[in-house]
Amino acid sequence: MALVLNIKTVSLNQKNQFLRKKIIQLEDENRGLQLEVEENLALNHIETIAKTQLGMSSPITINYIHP
Amino acid sequence: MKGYPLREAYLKLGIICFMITLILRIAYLQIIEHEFFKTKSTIQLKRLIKLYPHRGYIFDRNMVPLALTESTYASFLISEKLEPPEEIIKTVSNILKLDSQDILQKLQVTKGSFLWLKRQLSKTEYKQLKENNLKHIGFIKTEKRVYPKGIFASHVLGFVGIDNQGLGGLEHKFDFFLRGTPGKVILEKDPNGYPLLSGEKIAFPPYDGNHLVTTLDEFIQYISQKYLEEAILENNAEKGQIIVMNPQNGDILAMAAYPNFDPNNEENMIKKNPCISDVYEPGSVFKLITFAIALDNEIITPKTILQVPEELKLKNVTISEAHKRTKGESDMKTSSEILEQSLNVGTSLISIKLGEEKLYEGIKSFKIGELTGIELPAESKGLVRPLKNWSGVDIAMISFGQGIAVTPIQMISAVAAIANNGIYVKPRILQYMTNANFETLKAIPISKIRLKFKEKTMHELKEMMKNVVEKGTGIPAKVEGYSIAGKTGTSQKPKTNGLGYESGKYVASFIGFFPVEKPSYIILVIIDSPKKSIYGSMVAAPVFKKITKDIVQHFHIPPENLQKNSKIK
Repeated sequence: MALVLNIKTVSLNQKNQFLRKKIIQLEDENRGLQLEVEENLALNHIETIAKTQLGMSSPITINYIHP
Repeated sequence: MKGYPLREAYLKLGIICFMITLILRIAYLQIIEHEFFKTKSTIQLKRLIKLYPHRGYIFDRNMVPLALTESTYASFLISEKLEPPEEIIKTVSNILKLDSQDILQKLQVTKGSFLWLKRQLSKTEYKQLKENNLKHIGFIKTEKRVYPKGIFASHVLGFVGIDNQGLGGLEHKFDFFLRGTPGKVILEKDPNGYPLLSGEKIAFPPYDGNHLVTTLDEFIQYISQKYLEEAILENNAEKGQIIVMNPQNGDILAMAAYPNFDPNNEENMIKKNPCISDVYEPGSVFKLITFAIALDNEIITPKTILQVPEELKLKNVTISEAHKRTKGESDMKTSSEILEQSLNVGTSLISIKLGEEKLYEGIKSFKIGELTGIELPAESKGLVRPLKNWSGVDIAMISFGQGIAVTPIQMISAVAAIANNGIYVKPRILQYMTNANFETLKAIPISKIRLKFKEKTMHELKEMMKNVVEKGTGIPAKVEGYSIAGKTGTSQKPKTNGLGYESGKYVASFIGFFPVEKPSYIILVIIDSPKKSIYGSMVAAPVFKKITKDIVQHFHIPPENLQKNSKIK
């Protein structure tokens, strides 16, 4: 009985260690993705894409219509 | 045996001596050297794993991340020989773009078996080194500071060193809060160095660094940097700064400086923030301070008429105007016109009427020559010479912003007090600090001081500033539909040795705020040494206009006449 418990403990410990490593790995990956998102959301990046790839231009005037 | 009693005695003696020596040695090791060997065994039995905290992030006012951290690896070379296999060195130097001779030289100089190759590898570098599966090359997991928006607000954010220690800007000022506290795990290990599952385990968790939430607005900072760079290149200027502030609470919405730098790139780091560290002679923008003091002391009213000649001789100095008068133009000017047309002689006459003492006291009450206390390192005090050091002509020169040096942050804070009807608000770049779980730890309070100026004075001055933009030198800053108060400035640049002024070098500036009644935005534009045109009205005021137009469009601020009509309805 004690032996079975011991084996189970060892196996759970190993699983625990593996999962911890996986968490760290996913956290790192998440950080990398967050960084990529932020780099792509940089306004100069958006403006360049809008102007060069999407054919957009800056607004000249805005007409306000009185309600 | 009976035949050898002497031998037997010698043998016994020898054994006894040996036993005594052995006992003494054991006693020495167990009692006298007890602590030494206990420590040694602990070191051998226990394994210490350091847990590094994550450096805190820096955000803009809308929680847009401006400084983040990324997991990375540091690579090292470990070799018993001073000259490891040539092939390895060649491959490593190719991947990391290092000089192979340099690596070998470093190994020989340090005479060691360990050498850092690169502390913060890029993803590609790490992948390539890993793929090559090189002997003698090892990796340690580490963290790298990353600025996802590159040059964005780099003078404010600052940068970090190789060990992620803050070396400039907010990174340096708040390094203690950002860096966090390292933790450690102590494990018992077997003779092969593997942790024992049943062994003792002591853990001290790491505490991640705190996050900083700044007052910067991503959009306003972006347009400020963009238009500043455009203006610098268009006018072939040397450098420039823009500050955008909310005069109601002192929040710095943008702080841009050119030349700028990318804090992700170790080269070309600019270590100071010119918006708070550099001083300049403000020129005609400073007339606002002189007029505020003169109006408050009732030396003038906006309608006071003065006879203003084209030139004024004071001691051995001739004060003149930047522009020649048109034929038949009257020399009788109201105070309001003097400000509108930015007349140096008129302002000098007003300051002479005011007197040195009142002018000096007034300047000091606007906190010129004092630190503003903004949460950034290396702020300069500016230069206001003590009254006793003023020469006879200084009163006139200082009245129009020459012979006095201020920092851009001092200038905008002083004019913000005018916009705020006499309430000086301490500028702040940091809103609050949170812990790693985003729970607020400390909020930076808004600090307001009522200056010894009448509210009426400030209202009058604001109306005069409005006229500057409506019909004076500030027309290029005018945005249709919005009430804007402002002032242009064109000042001579002092020589670096402090003796006289550089010929042909000027600082063009413009300061303005809107809406005049209750301003939400005050913008200071400084363009240093422009070559195309030298005037604040031609170089800096159009930049103010561009920023203002973008702000009203982006934040959907309707023109004031529409707002008023809506209120009536």
